[in-house]
Amino acid sequence: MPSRKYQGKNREGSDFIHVDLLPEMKRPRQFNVNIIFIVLIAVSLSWLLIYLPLNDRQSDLDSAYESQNDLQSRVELTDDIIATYRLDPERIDFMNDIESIRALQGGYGDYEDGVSAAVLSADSSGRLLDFNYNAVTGEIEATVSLTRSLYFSDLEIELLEAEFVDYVDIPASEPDGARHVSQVVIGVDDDAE
Amino acid sequence: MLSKRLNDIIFASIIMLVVIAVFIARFFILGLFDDRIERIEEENTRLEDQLAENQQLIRDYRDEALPSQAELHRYIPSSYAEDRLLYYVYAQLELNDIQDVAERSLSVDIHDDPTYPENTDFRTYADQYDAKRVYIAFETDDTSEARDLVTHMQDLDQLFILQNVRYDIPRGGERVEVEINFTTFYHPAD
Repeated sequence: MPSRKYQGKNREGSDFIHVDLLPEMKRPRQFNVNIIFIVLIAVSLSWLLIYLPLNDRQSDLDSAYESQNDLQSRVELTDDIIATYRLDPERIDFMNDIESIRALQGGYGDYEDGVSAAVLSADSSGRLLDFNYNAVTGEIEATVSLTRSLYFSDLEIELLEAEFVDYVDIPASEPDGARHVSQVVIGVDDDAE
Repeated sequence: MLSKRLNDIIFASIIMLVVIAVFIARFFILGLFDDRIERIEEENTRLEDQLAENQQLIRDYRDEALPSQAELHRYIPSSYAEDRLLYYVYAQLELNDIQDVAERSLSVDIHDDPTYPENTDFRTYADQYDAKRVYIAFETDDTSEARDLVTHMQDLDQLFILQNVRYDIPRGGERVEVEINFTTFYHPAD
């Protein structure tokens, strides 16, 4: 309803009344193109940075789940076979441990024979004064008495030719009366055939 | 009415916020997916290992009759009693004619918790099982007795592993002391 009225006098002094008959209405706002631009950027970026990589990840995830199901079925199948054959992994491990522990039994007798033979080969008058075999460290310590200090190099060669010997360490010999004595360290190779 | 410059700043800020939000969402969502994929792949690796173990077990032991647990405990007994082990060792010494305690200065000791150097097989099995060290010392004029004793102990059902043996070589009939350490194992109580 027109409600805006103005009353006054014109130049001639006559009274008049002005009535604004146009309806009062707000001017429509100008549409902002920027909003469309922002939405477009948001959608494009989301598609490029989220949707595409996510699609790849979803394929990877599906593939991983598929493998998991397959593996689980196969493990269950082998578990059933193990149960059918009554294979007890714990007992098998125990049995294998026993065999491995038994393999720690070195051939101590052979080692002593080998060292004695090497001493006699190096010097027919050579003597083994003591013998100390340690299976934990895999070493033999033996005090050897030979008639000449030079024979210790022969002894080293003889020992290194023995199958069970891994390394030999012969410190400089010391005179002991007419003989020469040295404490020989021999590394034992338990795996030697 | 906003000025054009202010309008441009707001527009650029919104664009920046949108880009940042998209990036944050990307890293968050993809991170979740990557974590899930990684967890499943780890589980798959574990399943593959288990499957390989099972298949190996079946291949190796399908046609083999496994010894009973009781039979295996003949080699590594399940129950330990110091007195029993001591008497058992004395009995083996007696079987090797090493029995005159006073004349031969015979001594036998059991060490309950022996230590071994790291990275050795003895240490590995001592950690896994209950290891006991049996120390035997006696005097003899013939060191072949030591060798015979070691061979005898190694032939027993119960595992006696030679740890070390030490003696002087007698020159002319004099007595020397022989020291031998064996390691024996017991199955730890469940």
